[in-house]
Amino acid sequence: MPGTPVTSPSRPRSALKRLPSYRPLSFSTSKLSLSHVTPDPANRCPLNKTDGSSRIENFCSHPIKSTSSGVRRLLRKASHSLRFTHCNETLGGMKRDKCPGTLGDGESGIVIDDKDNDCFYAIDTTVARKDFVKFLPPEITAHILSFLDHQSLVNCEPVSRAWMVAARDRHVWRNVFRAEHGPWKSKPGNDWKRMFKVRQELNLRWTQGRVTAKYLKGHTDSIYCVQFDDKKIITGSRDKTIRIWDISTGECIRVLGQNSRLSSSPPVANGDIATPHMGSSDYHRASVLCLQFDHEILVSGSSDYTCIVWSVHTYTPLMRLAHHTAGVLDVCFDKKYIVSCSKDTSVCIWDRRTGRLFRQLTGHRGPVNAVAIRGNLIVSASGDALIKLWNVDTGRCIRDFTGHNRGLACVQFSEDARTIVSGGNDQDIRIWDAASGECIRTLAGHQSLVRTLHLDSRNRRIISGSYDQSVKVWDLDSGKLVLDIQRFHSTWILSAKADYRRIISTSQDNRTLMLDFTTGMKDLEVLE
Amino acid sequence: MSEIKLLSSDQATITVEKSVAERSILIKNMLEDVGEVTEAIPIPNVNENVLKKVIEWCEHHKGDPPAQADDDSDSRKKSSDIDEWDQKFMQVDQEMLFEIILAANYLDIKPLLDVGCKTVANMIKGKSPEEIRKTFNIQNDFTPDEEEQIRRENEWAEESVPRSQPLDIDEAC
Repeated sequence: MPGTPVTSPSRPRSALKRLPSYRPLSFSTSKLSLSHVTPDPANRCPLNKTDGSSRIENFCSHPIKSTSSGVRRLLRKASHSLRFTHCNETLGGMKRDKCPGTLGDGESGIVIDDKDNDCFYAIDTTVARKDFVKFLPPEITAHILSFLDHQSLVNCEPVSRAWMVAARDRHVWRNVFRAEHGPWKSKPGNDWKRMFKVRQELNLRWTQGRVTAKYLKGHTDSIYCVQFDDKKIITGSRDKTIRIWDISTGECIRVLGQNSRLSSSPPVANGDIATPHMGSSDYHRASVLCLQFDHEILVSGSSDYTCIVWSVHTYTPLMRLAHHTAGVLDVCFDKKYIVSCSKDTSVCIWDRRTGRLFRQLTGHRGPVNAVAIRGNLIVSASGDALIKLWNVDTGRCIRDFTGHNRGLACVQFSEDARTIVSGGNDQDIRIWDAASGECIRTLAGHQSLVRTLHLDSRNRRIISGSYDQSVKVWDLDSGKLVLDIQRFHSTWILSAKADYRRIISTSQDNRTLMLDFTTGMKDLEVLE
Repeated sequence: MSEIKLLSSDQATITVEKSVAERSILIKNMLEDVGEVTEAIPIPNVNENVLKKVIEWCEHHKGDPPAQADDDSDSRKKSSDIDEWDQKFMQVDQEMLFEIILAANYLDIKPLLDVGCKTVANMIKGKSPEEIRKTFNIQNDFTPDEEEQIRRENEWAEESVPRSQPLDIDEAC
């Protein structure tokens, strides 16, 4: 097997562990030297300057002189350790390095660009120009091309046959895809160039606003919250029900709460311990204000002061979280904790597995309208116009983010928890540096309260929904407004979420709107 | 400050600070295996000129923090992100540039390999196929028809609409 490490018997196993985490591109010295070295002594002369390929042979065949056998042995061992990196493996394990440089603008620097080159070569025409694709090991060529943007890369294809092969390499396209579109799951057989093409068309549709709209009808009152995945949409409403919808057909496949005859059952008002296995008739007794689900559970929060944890497979209630003394306005969870925030001005942290109250965070002076968790950090946004960042372990408030001058309605973390976005009654969206507390950017455009925000780190977008009845899409990096979706809802937007191909928004008009940017697109399956 | 000696492919002995030479993971691992070395370590793949150039780079970068773990938020680095000093350092003829790349690869100095490859990538960026051929003295072995077909296949990659278009509902629906 070509990828199998080759180690000389004298090299101990432990030495392998000392190999750098970065594996160098395999400079296929062994192959080249085996196939090309001739006994001609002329070949040993250092570097034939006109021919790159023969130079590589020379590299390899050059004798090692005046060296003790010990050092020579070591050297052999070291080059063995280098050699085993197989092409695929190497590229897979290699990512772009952080460049410590500060020069953001390559054009103002001394980058060798067109003009520099031309004038450079005009002065000295004797300088060799070398078709490196022909003599560099293919792994290094692939590494070079991986730093290109997609347009430059396709321009390499018609250069020559050798360049076409190099420029169509799937590892190169994988890197280019990820550089321009962010992380994407790598599957064997992924056609990254085709994926790029589809992604490109999809992005075009986002910027042009080419969508088809579908309304999901069934709720009988305002819809406060929504989340979706590839298969389903889950919404929660003022009509006290949660509905599950089939995302491909738009049909409602499940209602949680519709037939509730539970009005007689009193709320579990105090007691920190959850009540597992409630009767199936135990639903929310008031508006469903917030929800989140993953592949295991669905957690909903309600004006009935409680959260319910459901199985996302059977949709049976597993436990109720009761401690808040007013409506639960937002909820989120990770692998360990469920976090809820309430009109009672507090944030509760619950053990996800047992439902036990782990900690209550107090400090806000108004209702806490939104909350998010990432690792050891919780961010909360309140009607008191403050954003607070909390340490989960200590329960301490790390810092306040000040800048908004009216009450806040929504807050989100970026995936890496370095960025926080917030919105509220002052109509601005603010982007904050989580570590410094500085406001990095203000996105102005909404003409009423910003009610909902969704930060889509993967697709570099922020989706916002407002009482001005519009849903807006912003570029996360530039802060520019990409798309302004107006007049689809007839009243306040209460919730909006997006993935790479859809925006789903809910409104006070009792309708859920699904905007799909992919209708009629070919080859979409390559992205899935 | 301990020093070591390196022996280039053309038999030149170069003395260098150990910490500088250890920017090369190859040399670092070797030194870890052998401990104290008094004799020159042969670098059979790199000649004196190139080795000196590589050492110059290592000297300038000896204080660099170790490469940080990659994370997704930084995966969008552009190839033009080259340190100003490195840009100047890489202003050499193509021959030397490719030799530095090969040496960095052989000696396992990833940051230098990256800077070299980025420099070459920047020479390609934004150029037409014909300009690329000119830059690297490449023989076009396609027929005009073949070339045209490749261009057509890649038409999708052309830049098109400006961003920030407001959504026109009447057209969208």
